[in-house]
Amino acid sequence: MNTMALDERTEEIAMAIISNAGAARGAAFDALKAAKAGDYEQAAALMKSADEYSRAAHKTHSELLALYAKGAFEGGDILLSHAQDHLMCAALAMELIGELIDLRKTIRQNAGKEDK
Amino acid sequence: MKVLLICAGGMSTSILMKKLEKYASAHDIDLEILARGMNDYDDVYQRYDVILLGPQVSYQKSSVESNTKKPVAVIAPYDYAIGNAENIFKQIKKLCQVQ
Repeated sequence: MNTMALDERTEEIAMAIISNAGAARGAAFDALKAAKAGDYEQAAALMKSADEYSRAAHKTHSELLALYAKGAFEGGDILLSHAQDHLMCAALAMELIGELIDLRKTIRQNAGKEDK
Repeated sequence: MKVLLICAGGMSTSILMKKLEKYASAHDIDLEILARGMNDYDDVYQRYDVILLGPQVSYQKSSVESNTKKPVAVIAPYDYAIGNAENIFKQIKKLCQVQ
């Protein structure tokens, strides 16, 4: 792959990871909002959508790692590390928000309060 | 049209901005555009007609709306990923009509 084509490909890969990881994070925060309003059904649906976006982001990330393994890159690329930053942010948001939603459910149940 | 793009840090929207500028000049669209991060738009938003958010900050749409009192929309993840300028301009036009 020549340098120009590789630059374009890395930009495509970075933008695909950022968009999907970003959408995953966005959906996870919307899920938290829904859970805070007591709507666990909507929260679960949003977490499922976050999971789908996150899978798409990870798939692209694997392609990137495959390119790297083939020796396509020399040194680093700031846009790609930015994309990986988004990916990790989304992963952490999803994990933590999943726990927060469960936690809220348990606390409300123990307090004898009924949500949807 | 004057468009402000906002994402988390202003990096990926800068890339999108370049693509939109290219499309605008190829299609003779009068465009003034700027990309900023979520913590960095307070001093500039007044100069823009509409605001578009990257998918990674979609959940902050209502806070941007209440801060700026401008029409705000979130770019679809797929359009954002491939820089689909045609779809994004459709979205901008729709937002301008709302205003």
